[in-house]
Amino acid sequence: MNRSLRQGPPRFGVWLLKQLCSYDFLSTALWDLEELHEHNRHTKGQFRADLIYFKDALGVIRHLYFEGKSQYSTNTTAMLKNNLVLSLRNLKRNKSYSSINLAGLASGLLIFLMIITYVRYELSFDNYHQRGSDIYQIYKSVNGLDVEYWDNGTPGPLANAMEQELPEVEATARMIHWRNLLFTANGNTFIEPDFYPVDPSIFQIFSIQPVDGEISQFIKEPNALAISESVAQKYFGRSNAVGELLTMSDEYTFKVSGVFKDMPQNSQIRFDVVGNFEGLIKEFGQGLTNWNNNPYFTYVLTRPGVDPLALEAKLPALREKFANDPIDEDGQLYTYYLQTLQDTHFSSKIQGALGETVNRSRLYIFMAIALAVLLMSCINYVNLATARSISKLKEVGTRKIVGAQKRHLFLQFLVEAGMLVGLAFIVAFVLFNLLLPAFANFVDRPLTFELTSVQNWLYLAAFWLVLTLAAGSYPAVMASSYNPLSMLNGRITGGRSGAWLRNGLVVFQLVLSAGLAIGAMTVGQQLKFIDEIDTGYTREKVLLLSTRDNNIDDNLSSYMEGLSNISGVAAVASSWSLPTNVTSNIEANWPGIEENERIPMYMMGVTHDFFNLYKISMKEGRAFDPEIRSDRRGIILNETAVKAFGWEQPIGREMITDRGRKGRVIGVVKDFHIKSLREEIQPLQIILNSNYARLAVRVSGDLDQVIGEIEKVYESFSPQYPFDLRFFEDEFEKAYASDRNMASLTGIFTILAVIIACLGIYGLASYQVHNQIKALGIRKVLGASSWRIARMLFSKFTLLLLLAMFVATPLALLVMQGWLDGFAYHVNIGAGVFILTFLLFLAIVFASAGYHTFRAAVANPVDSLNYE
Amino acid sequence: MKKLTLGAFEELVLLSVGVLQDNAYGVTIKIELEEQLKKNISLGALYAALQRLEEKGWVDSRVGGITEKQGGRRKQYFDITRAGVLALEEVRSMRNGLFDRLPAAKIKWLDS
Repeated sequence: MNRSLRQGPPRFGVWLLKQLCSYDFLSTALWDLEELHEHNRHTKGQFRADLIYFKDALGVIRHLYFEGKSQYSTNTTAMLKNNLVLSLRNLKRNKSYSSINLAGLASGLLIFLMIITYVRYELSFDNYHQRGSDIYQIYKSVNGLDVEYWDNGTPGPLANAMEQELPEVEATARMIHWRNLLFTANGNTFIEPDFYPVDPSIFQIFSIQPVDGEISQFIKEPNALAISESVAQKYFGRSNAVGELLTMSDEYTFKVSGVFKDMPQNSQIRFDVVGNFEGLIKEFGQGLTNWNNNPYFTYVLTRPGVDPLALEAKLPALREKFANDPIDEDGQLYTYYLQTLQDTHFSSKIQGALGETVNRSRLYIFMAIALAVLLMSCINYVNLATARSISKLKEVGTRKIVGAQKRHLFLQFLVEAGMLVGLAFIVAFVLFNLLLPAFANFVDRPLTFELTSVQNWLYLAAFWLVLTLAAGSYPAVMASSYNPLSMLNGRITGGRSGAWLRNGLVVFQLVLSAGLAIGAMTVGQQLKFIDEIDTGYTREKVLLLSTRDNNIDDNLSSYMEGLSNISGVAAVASSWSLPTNVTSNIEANWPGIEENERIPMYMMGVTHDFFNLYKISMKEGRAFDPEIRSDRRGIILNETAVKAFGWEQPIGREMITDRGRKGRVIGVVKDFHIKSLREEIQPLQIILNSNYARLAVRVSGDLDQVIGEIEKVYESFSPQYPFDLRFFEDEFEKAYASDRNMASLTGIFTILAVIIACLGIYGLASYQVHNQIKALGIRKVLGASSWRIARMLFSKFTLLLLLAMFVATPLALLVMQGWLDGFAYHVNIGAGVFILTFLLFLAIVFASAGYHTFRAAVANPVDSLNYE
Repeated sequence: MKKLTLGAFEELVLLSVGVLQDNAYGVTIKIELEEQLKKNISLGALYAALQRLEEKGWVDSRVGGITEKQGGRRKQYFDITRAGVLALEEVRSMRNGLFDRLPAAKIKWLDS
């Protein structure tokens, strides 16, 4: 009906009144409101008259329900109000019951809210780009490797070739990542950890907000920079820094062409300083035409709606045409693929990613566990509520006889559940807000909950409703469906199927919590194993020093000499890579070997003191000796290499190493772990070479004092770059950080799950005892001892626990074996863990069932039987 | 028996019902009060006050004005009862008594 044609009051307002007012009052209010509406419609117009009608109608309803007498409201609403009051009274009266339920629900919810906040944050990476679904990053696979291998490095000419040949491509950007460069402006000197030379088109691909300057002019010139707002503040103290000059490494001067807003935290790449790609690449003499040189990252913006798979399929032909790399049976050397920008945050399998990547399945595991814990707390509610409904039988029976219908009772129980869940929500939410900063710190993510976001509150409300239904439906159905006569008689046993369900639920809880406990213990054991394993090198008191200043790099040997002269420094050495993660590789080659027999091996160049520094011991032969000049051509192998080559007598054999140089094996080193413990030890050759060095120092004296001395030596060589040092131990730990994280989270989960399971058992025990109180009384009268009664009750719980262990053991074994298989070196899950878990849970079960069982066992039978 | 009390708003409503005589129902009372008080009165608050007055026996209500056209709506007229008038008088005399005891000099001083 057309609004302007309607004469009467708004229909919805009338409907509302009719729903919520009793007949007596309804007609009065309708009359008055209609008269007012008619009056207002002439003086103030239809719209305002309607508004006033609504306002008055709501006012009438409010006064009827909250300030007047409820006798004027309708039956349903009066019942609802009555239900609320009654529920509140019930909760207040049974304080222990309510608080147990509350604690269980709140802790389950707390965990769930935390995890969901974390997972939502991780999934939100790069979701703010306007053309987000059309942005791709190119990655490649390498043909001819035994293992599956992908990486993000792409050749320079790829981007232009795609833009020229493929109409689907709207724009491309090439980019390279340079680390830790020194910038100076205004007398302020800072090290910029990330400097990205990139094509100006990146500002068209990504959604970056300009603050100063015209975004289309950002980094157009070869010597132009664009910087983020915080960088501009850092150097110039203001945001409008366009036209200012910045000097890099005291040599190259750049002009700021634009300032952009800091990119959000949830960006996989966060630009701080970007420069013109072509200008910088030319300046530093890096090639842009070689199809087999892959230092660059390539971003592609496709036209809207382009199928990435179809586009991907065109890339081999592109490579064939431009790189003269025909597709034959073996395929090409490199195959290119597209991944969406949002996926880059999760592509932990693709090497050389920018920024930290996250394993998606780990997020899903967390979600699953959080859901399971939540489910456990719902089960608790179900068990406790059904147990308690027994004690409310008389009340419910009376209500039924007086005329309460099933749905009224159902509603009453549901309202009670809703109230408790609501309370748990409030508790959990308050705790959540208090603990979120600590949790955010723990997972190292800037997690927040937007209190002002309506969407968030709607989610919470919907979640509350779902949880209420999940927890409250079954007890409500149960309690409202008993026969009123048997209720008043007190002859309710709950029925066979009900018992099955309750026992099943408790077993389910036990399975989950025991499974988690086994998991947590296994993770803990493996981490302990990692800590204690002999990696073949020492991590104690080893410091890593930076060599990024050219002054240091050019005078490395005299700097190292200066360092070794400090008393308290035991050894100074450099190596191509740290022993924790050797990266260079080569093919094992020696005179007389066929090309197809050559196996891949890792390679590392070190200085003389390397073995001494890391306390890596020799198995055969000797280490490099500074006195023997011929050691420049010496080669040291590890045990694995000797085994792989099948050499009986390795010392003195000739090998061809790096760039065709010939050398002789002078020693064999005891195997040490050249990768994290996830990977097996591979063949390795070590040569004497001080290039591309990672500089390390082992300290024997007092750490603080020696560090002070080192800093003095450093400053005499590099007055410009600030002193910077790291501990080798931390570097070692980095490889296992995600595992430690997982260990702590599983630990927390386990504790909560166990607590919730305890509450569940407590509830079941109380139900059990309540139900059998008379049977137990008769047993006692007939001569059963307290001990016998207790044993009888406990045996049931032991049975349930055994059943749970029976299910949990293979499940946990399966999952944990899968996790452990990710480590080449790992502990074996022994029976010990399972036995320990069983005993632990036995104790827990007895403790939580104990209270009721004990009370039932020692109770005077007269108390339970005196009504018969 | 508990002494019945007359609240300030209730007093005003009761007075309006008396003043409006035969034509006191929701809308007219509301308009009367709004004119006197120079502010908006919520219909809900008015109903709540009328309910309370009716329970205390100070107003009577009768139903009138049902016609075919109005389908389910009806006017509910209110009349002040004798007890209502007495209650008003009692409040008034109590107030006058208090007012008389206010020192004249104080009023003068406050006026100036």
